[in-house]
Amino acid sequence: MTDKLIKLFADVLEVEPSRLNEESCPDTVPEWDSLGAMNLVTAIESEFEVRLSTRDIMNMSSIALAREFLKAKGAEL
Amino acid sequence: MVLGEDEKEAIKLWRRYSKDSSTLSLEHSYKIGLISTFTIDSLIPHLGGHLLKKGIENPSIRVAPYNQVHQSCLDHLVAFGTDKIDVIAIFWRLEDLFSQYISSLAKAEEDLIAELDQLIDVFVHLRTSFKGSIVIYSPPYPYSSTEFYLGRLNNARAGLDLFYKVSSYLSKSLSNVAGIQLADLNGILMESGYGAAHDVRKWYLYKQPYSEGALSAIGRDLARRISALTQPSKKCLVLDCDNTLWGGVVGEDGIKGIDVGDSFPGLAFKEFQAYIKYLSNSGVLLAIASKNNEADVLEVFERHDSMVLKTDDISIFQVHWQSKVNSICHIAEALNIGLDSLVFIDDNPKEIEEVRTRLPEVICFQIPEDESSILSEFKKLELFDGYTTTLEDQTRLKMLEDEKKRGELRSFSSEKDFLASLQLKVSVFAAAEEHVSRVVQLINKTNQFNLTTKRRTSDEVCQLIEDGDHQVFAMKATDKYGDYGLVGVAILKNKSANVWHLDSFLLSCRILGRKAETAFLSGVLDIMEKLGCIQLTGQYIESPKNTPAESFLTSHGFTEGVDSELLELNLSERLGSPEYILIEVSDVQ
Repeated sequence: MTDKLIKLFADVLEVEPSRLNEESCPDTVPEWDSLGAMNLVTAIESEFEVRLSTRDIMNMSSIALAREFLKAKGAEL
Repeated sequence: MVLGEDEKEAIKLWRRYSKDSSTLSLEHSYKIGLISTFTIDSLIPHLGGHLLKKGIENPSIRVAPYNQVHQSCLDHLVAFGTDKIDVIAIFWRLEDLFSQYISSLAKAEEDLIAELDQLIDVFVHLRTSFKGSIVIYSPPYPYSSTEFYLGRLNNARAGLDLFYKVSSYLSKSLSNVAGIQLADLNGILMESGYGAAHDVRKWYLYKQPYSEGALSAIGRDLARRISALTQPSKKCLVLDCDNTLWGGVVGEDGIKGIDVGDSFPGLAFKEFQAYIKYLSNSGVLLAIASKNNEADVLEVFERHDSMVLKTDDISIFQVHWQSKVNSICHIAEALNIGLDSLVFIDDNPKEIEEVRTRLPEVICFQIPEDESSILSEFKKLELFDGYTTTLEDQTRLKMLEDEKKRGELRSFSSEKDFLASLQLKVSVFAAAEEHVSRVVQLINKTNQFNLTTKRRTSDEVCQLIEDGDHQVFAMKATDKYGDYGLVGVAILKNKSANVWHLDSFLLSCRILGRKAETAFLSGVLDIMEKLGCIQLTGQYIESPKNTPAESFLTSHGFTEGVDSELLELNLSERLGSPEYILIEVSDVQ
């Protein structure tokens, strides 16, 4: 089964989940541009019912960092 | 703002649709073009979803380049890459287009009105050159500007007054233009809750000012307008009487005992009638289907002085004890309209159920138990949207002549005139240490106008500035609306004595659509000429997103050279730069 967070990133960025891993970031995934990032914020906030600060959003520059952040917020991954 | 079920459903619909339809031909889709001064891409799933919910089966949505309202209106073909757009919707904010007047109100009004005139000219130009429908959203009340902050204890009305003046000037001017539908973005934001409609984080990071809730409301509004343009409206309302047009049962309570008047619950019925009257005035036919003694019902219509609806407003009375299905069929036949253009309103769930089962084409509305929500629930069905647009279109057709005259009189209607009016000034200079952080940011963030999309680190750029084999140029730009800051980077590499290679050339999307790229290249060439360069080579390296830069080299005099990979430009054959852009160059040692 595909990991929940990877699946969310794949859905939002419209890429195959197999193209993503923990190290995926805007530099390695061309679809993760500013629009992609904005859509990710929307999706993460509604899926995990968290509120991201502007700095949180800026710091979330890889899937691993997003996971770390969401875990700290107590989200179920 | 949290999305409701309805809004979430719209987004899901769109996601499923866009997955399925990615392989379908766009040729036969219903095409909507969005022009905006802010990032509008996040509207797409909301708008698309609401369009699908409205029964528009094959929408496709395109977005014009960011913050190029003037340019996109003056040349919609270039903005959307096709002339086959069905509807163009325009979103703009005062603070995006006219920031200098918004940050200081002193003397703003006169100047702002002059600017508005120019913008209106541009809208008129679009109307005359574009065949489809146009929806222009009026600008909303400026957000996060001190002058407009309503919580000020001191002179808080100044911003409000200016806003209302601008809004009414705009609606007056545009109401004279046939075929432009003016919509109210401020009203939508107010309905969503003005504060909750904004998302400051997304504004700072992505130039996208609105919350998901507000975007859904905007999408719903535009979808309604588009659906009203494309789908036939309902034509006739078939109304029950007791507990629908008034409270109580006339056959039992008598004309004096029924509730319609100026206190609740009578007031709720009176206001519902007033809305039906408004629909009737816009062309909707009214019919009565009531199980009653005809004389009782007619007496109420003729003698009750709180009745808004009068006998003359009703095309057909079907008041008897036979089934409502029979009445409805009779009404459709007598008025010579299809059952699918009827809307049936009744308080009795059994009647509603019977009509739904036997006449599935008829839309039914059951009066809610709480009288206070009758009107709001009924409006939510949005059944008669088509009438408003048709009527507006009719009155506006008469004004077509005026518009033609206007088009002839006003001069400001070509892209060149617009660009000249901007009074763009650029300065081109060799990047120094203090520019490195912005230069690196541009190099790594710019996707669209980026000739080679080569990314570089801060250290690498510092090194290029230091070493003698490279030149790193930057461009700053200002126009009459304000300062764009550092918005262009070019890196040149020395190949042989007099030959240089254009290794990087990129511009922030903030400055695109203003011919600044031509001015930037011109400035760079001026400097290089002084350094003794006689030939420049260059190459377009395709990326998934840099089509805006595709023809840059060839349209600026570069031609195929001996080395087939690279294009060449002899500086003696360089093309000129637009005379309306002022270029300052700083000498390089």
